[in-house]
Amino acid sequence: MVLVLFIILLAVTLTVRTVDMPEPEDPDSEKDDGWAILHLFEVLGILVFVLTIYHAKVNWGMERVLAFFPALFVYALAFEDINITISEQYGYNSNAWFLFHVTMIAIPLGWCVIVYCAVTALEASPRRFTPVQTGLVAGALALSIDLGIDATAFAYGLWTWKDGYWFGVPLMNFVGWFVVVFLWVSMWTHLRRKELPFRKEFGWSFGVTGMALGLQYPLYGLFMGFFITLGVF
Amino acid sequence: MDRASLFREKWTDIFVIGTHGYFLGVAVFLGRPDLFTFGLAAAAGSILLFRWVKG
Repeated sequence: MVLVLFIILLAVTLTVRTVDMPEPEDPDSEKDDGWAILHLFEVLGILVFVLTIYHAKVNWGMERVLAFFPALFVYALAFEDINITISEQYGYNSNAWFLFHVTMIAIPLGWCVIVYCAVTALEASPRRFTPVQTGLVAGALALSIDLGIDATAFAYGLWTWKDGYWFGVPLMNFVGWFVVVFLWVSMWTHLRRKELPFRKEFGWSFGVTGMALGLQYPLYGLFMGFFITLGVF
Repeated sequence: MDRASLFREKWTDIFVIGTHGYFLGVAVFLGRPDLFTFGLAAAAGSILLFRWVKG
């Protein structure tokens, strides 16, 4: 099944450049539909996050919810905001209703939902994964969601990229997705399996966030170096 | 299975299918068959991958 998936993705990758791509919407412009899809995306993002918290509370209990979501939210928000500001390679639509500095709030909330879904899917798995394996599979699951939605979001103007291969989205975005989810989930899973008292687990979850933020650039650089050596980029 | 149990059991599927469904709808709204076709393949891949992990 994974082989079938790989073949599908390879075929799409090879054919994607043959498609004539119209220019995406200017995210700072006025739009005939009043950016309805953008605002619906924001509202649905918040709603889905609330439902996820409810699900996690029933599934894990409140203490684990508190040792997971706040640290992950800070991680996602810091990552997005720092990268937009420093790299200037992408940016979110300035017409959004809910913005923190330059980051659309629905994005870090979406990260929380995607990572939670990946983690719960792994917990439900009959296969036993080590923390590093858990991080690798969670990265692949998160990437599988982003692959489908990023191209369409870019085409509508939910966010913009300066230059991109995949329907306007650069491949480095997908490498980044994999790396950031892998780092945080593998370290958090390691922490969780230690069965620490709540206060320690809560405190250390922010330690995971700090370490993941610090490690993402060297690991990302390593991946990019690998792909550049292979001639992919 | 009652509605609450169904929500808890199927939350991952609901989210993954719902997210891809939303963006496939946007592709239709934009009149982009290329994005729709690609999105459909990506959605199928994503669902299969989650199913495989969950066993």
